[in-house]
Amino acid sequence: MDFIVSADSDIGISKEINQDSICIKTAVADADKAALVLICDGMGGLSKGEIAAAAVVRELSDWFDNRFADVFDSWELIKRDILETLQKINSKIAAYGQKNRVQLGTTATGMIVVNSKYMIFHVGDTRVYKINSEISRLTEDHTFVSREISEGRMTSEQADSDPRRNALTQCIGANGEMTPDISFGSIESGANYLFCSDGFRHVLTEEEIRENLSPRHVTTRTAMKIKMRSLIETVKERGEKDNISAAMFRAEF
Amino acid sequence: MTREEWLVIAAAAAAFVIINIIMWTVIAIKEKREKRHKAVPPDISKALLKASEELESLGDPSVERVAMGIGFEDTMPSAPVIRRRDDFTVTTTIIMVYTSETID
Repeated sequence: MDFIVSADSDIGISKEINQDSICIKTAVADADKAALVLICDGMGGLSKGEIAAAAVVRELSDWFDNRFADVFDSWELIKRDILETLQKINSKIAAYGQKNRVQLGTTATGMIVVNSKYMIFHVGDTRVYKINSEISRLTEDHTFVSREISEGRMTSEQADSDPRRNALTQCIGANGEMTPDISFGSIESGANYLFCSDGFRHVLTEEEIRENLSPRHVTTRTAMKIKMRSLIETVKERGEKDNISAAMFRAEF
Repeated sequence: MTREEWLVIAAAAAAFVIINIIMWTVIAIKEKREKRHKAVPPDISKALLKASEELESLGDPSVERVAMGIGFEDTMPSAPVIRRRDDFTVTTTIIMVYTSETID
């Protein structure tokens, strides 16, 4: 069993700071393997978003290094730990915001993998895609337009050009309340999993993402790095103004 | 049968009984130990129940929540096994953050 991972991030063409953060960890425990892939997009419209995103990355990185081993064999306890950790960091960020009179927040989308099983935790509009011969999204955006689409008040085409397309219905830290989506599944051997911020995918079609990151020609860490960087450059050429970040995970067993 | 033959048979029967008693006692002790090891301590049960209740009380029915262990029912134990993996070793770390400022 092999886990192959990579990540890339770019400040983009117009921002002064990169408010995205990424964390990738892998570990072994005897014959078992585990991984954490996490992407956070600090709130661009709110100041200090990069601090919120970095805080979530640091907290979950610390959890992986120091507490994951205690709950490794139980998905119930892993889920409990992740939810508690996210709630804790949510409160910390909210308190920091109140103390410093700023409003800051971040999305957080991550996957914990233990051997062939995974748990996704998700808040915001960063996304996870599974790419094999097709591309499928494994998360639902917590955005105003996503809610409008699911309730039949807006089409996808209308959403793409709606000025509120980036408005989140929830994130970590901004207003003190937060309910992550949790989902479980089985890792498909040989499929590529893409984690990306909205800046990465705004001006790319899903077909372009699938074609460039398909496991037909992206199976190594180097290939992942090259293809992600190529797509990031394409996104910049198309005038995307946001920070641009992506991470990839692949398992072979 | 002679007296001596009866004595031999009786001794063999007694030995058989004694060996069985010892063997089944050992098996019972082992099973008791395994059950105790798998049992969740009461405070962990409370914490899990609290986490479960907190999730239940959160609103927004449009959000799909997966109850504990859906999809893993064939492999998950009925109660969480708490055993620290002392052989846990981190093999890859990629961290990308763009600020040194921290929230304490």
